Amino acid sequence: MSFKERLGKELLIFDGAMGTILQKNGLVAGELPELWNFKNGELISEIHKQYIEAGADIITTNTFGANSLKLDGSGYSVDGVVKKACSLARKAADEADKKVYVALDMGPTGKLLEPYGDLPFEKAYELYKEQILAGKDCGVDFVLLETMGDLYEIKAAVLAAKENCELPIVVSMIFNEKGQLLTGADIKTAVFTLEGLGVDGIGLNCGLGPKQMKDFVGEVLKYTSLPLTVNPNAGLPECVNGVTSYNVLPEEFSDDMAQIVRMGASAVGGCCGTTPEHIKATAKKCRNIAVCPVNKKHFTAVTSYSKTVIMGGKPIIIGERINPTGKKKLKEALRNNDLDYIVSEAVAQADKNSDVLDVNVGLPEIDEAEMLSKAVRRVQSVVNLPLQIDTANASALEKALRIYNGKPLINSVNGKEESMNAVFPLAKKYGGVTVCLTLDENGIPETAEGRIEIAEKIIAKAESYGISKDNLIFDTLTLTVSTGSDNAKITLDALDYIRHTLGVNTVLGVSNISFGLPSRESINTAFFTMALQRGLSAGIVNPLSEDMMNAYYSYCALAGFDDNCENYIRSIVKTQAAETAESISLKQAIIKGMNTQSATLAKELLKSADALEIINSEIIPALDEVGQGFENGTVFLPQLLQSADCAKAAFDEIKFSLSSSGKKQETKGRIVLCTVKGDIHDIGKNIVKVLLENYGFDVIDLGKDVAPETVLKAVIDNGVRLVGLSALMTTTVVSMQETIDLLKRELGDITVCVGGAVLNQEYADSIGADFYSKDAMGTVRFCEKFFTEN
Amino acid sequence: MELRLSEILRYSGFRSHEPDELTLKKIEQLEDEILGSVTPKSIYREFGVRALENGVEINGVKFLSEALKKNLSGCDKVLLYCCTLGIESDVILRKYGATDSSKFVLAQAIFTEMCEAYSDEITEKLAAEYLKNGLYLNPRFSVGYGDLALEYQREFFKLLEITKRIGVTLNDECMMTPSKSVTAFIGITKDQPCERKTCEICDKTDCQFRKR
Repeated sequence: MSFKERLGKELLIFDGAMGTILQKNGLVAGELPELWNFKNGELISEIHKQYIEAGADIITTNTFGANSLKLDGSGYSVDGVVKKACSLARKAADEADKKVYVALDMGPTGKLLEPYGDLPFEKAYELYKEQILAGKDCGVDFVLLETMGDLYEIKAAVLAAKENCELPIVVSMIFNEKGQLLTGADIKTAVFTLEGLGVDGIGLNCGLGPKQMKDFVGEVLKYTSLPLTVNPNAGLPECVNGVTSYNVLPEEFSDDMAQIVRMGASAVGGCCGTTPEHIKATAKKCRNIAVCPVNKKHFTAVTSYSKTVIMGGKPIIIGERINPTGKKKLKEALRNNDLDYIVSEAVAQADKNSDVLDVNVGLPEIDEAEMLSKAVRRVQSVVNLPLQIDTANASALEKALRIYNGKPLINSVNGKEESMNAVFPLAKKYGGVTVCLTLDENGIPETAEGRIEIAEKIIAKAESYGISKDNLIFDTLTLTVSTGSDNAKITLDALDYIRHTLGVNTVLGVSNISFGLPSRESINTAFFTMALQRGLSAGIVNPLSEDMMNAYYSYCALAGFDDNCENYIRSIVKTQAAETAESISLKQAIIKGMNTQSATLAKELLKSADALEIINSEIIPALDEVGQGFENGTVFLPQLLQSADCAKAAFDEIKFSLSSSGKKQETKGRIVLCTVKGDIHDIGKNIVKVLLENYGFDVIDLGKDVAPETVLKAVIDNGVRLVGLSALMTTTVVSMQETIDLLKRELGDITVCVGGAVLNQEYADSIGADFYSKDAMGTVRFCEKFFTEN
Repeated sequence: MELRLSEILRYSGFRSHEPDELTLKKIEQLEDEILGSVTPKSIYREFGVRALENGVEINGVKFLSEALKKNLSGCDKVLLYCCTLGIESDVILRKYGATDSSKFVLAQAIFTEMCEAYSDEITEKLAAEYLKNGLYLNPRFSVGYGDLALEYQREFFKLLEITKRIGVTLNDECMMTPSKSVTAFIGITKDQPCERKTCEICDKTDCQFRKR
C-alpha cells in the first residue's frame, strides 16, 4: 500500500534526529549536515538502518538544508546532494524486511520572504522546485516539509511540490511555546491555510518537547480534517558550555508519545535530540494503540498570514472601501499608482473593527491583474486582516490568489457555467472561501425559490471540483427596494433558506438596497439589521459609517454575541452634539499638527479661495515657519513631520478639487528618490519624500534596496535630472558610489544628492556626490535651489 | 518592561528638549498599541573564547577585530546574544510609514528603546546568575561596532543558530530582518568591569542622537 493510503488509517512511526547523531560523530556548529552524504555516506546509511531496526516505517532523507542558498559555495549542487541522499535512504529502506517509506525532506530556505524579508515569493518557489525536481524520481514516497515557521514560505514550497510532482505532501511546522509560528500565525490559522492548499498531512515538529507539544496536538485536532504527524524534540534544549543538549530519556519520551497517539496523532517520531532508542521505545508503546479515525471538521474560515476569521458564529464585517465604484479619490489613486492611499483606507477600516477587507481595483484603464496583486501585497504588508479578493477577471484572480499570504475570500463566482469553470479550479488549487452570487445565464431570478435553485446548482458543481460547501458563502443579491417593494423580502427569504436549510453561510453587499432613495443610511441600517436577524453571516459594509456600525454593535449585543455588552460599550459611537470648533486658521492648524482640521479647513477655504492662494498664503507659510524652527533647533523631527502630514492632508483636498475640475497642480520639479542596493533602512528616505512632496516637488520613490540599474532606468524613463540617494550603513555606501558612477557614466548631466547616518561632506565628496545633506530640510532647500537655477 | 520616555525622546530627535503635548499623546497611544502586539524574544549561548594576535576565536571561528579583542580581554568565556521584536514591529512601521510620518518616527524610537530595555532586562537577570559564581558580565558589544566588520554577522548567526531558533534572517548585505533585532557579544569575566559605557565610545561625535 502507498504512504497516502496508510497515513491516517494505521499508525506510522517516523525516524528520529539525524543532526544530533552527526554531531556526536564530529559535525561542528555551522557545518552543513547535507555534505555528510558524501563525506561519510556510510554513517548516513547506518543511521537510516538504525532507525528502521528501531521500528521506523518512515525515514527522512538527509536533505533538510539542501537548497541552492545554503549550498552556495560548498562545491556541491542541489541535484547532486539530493540524489545522493535519496539513494542512501532508498537503499536502506529496500534492504529492510518490511515496507519502509522514504520522505524527501526539505526545511526552511533560511531567508525571510518579502514583504517581511528580502526573498521574493517566486524565488522561494524556485528554490523548492529545484530540490523537488532533483528528488522526485529517486524512489521517494512523499514530500516532507518540516520545521517550517512561515506560512508564506510553506505556500511557495507546497505550490512548488504540487506543480512539479505527483507525490503526497506533509507539512510539519515549528511552533513556539505560545503556539505561534515565527511569522505570528496561530495553530488554527496554519491549519486552515494548509488545508486550503490541499496538503495530505499536517504536522508539528521541533521547538518543543513532547510534554509541551501535547496542548498543541489538541488544538490542531480541534480544527483539522487531515492526518496529524508529531515529531517533538527530546525535551527543551539545555545549554551547557555552549553545547545544546536534550535530556528527555526514551522511557519518558515514549510515554508522552503514546498519549499523543491516543489523542489522535496518525504518525509519530522524533526531532532534535532523539535517538534510535527513543524511536524504539516509542514504536513499542504506540504500535498497538488503535489510531483515532481522522474526522472531517466543518469550518468556514479565511486567514491572513497570522489571523483567522471563522464565519457562522458572530456575524462579521467585510470593509468595502477599497473598491473604485463611485469613489473618485480611489480612482485617482489607482490611476496614479498611489498605493499609499489604498493602505490608508485599509488601516482606517482595520481601526474601525473590520474583520475582512475587500480589495477591488478594477478600472478599465489600468492593468487589473498587475494592480490587484500589487494592492494585495501592499495591504498585507501593513494590515493583518484576511482579504476578500474581488475581481471578475480570471487572470487577475489567479495572480492575486497565488501571491496572497493565507486563505482569502474569493469574490466571486455565479451560477453561469463559464464562471464556475473559471473560478472553482483556482479556488481548489490555492484555497479560499468563495462568494457565490445567485444569478446565472438567465439573470437574477425574481423569486427566492429561483435564487435557491441556483445556490443548489452551485453547491453541486463546487462538490464536483472537490470543494465542500464549508468553503462557499452565498450572496442572494441586494436589489434596490425603490424599484420593487418585494426586493428586500426576496433577498432575505433566499438568504434565510440557504443559511438555515442548506446550512451554508451568507453574505450581502448591504447598501445597494437604498439606491435612488433619500436618507440612504436609514434604509441601509434597517435592512442590515433585518438581514442579520435572518441569518446573514457577513455584511459587506462601510465600517467608517457610524450608523452601520452602531446597528451592527446593537444587533450583536441583542443577539447574544456580546457578553455583558462589553463590545457595544467599547465600540458604540455616541452621537454627540457637534464639537464647538475652535476657530483657527489653516496655517495654525498645520503648525499645531491638527490633521483632520487641516483637511476640513482646506475644504472650507476652497469654497471661497482658489488653490494657489491657499497654498501661498496658508500652507507654504506654515511649512516655512516649522521648517525654520527645525533648522534653528526649536522644532523637532516628529513635530516637523506632524505638520508635514497636515500639509499633505490639505494638499490632498486641493489636488482632489483641482482634478475634479480637470486642472492639474503644477509641480516644482521631479526627483527620483531611493535607498541604495543592499540597504533596507528607509526612514530617512521616507522623511525626505514627505517633505519634498509638501514643498510641491514630484517624487518618484523607488523604495529601498534598489539596484543601480533600476535607478538609471527610472531616471531615463521619467526624464529626471535630480536623484536623491540614501544609505545608512558603511557597507552600503559602496552601492551608493556604484549608483553614482553608473548614472554619471551613462548620463553625464545628472545631479545626485546624498544623505544618511554614516555620511559626511568629505565622504560624500569622495564618492562623487554633487550635494550632501545633513538632514531632510537640507534636501528640500537644495531642491528649491536646483530647480530655480536649472 | 519599563520604557524610558527620555530615551524615546532622544531617539526621535528631541535631544534634551521638552516635547509638546500632542507628541506625548502619540507616544502614549503607540506604547499601548506596541506593548499589546509586540513580544520580544531572545536567545543566548555560552562559548569559550581565545585571544588571537589580532582578534578572538570562538568555537573555531575567528573574529578579527582589535575592538572586540579589547572588549573581551580577560574573558575566557563569552555569551552570544540575540533578541528580536519580531515581524509585527516591521508591520507597524510599514503601516505608519504609509499613513502617519510623525508616528513612524516615534514608533522607530519606541522600538529602539524596547530592544535596549528588553536586552538590559535579560542581561541583568543573567548577570545576577553569573554573580552567584563570582563572575561579571561586560557591556554588550555588537557586530558592526568599531572595527568588527558587519560580515561577521554570518558566522555569529551560524554559531547561535539564530534563524532556526528565533527566526531572524540576514540579507546579502548582512542586515537583519525583522529589522528591530540586536546581536551582541557579552564577555564573562572574573574582574568587575568598569562602569557601563554607552554611545560615548563611538567616534561619530557629531551624531545628533549622541548622549550628552
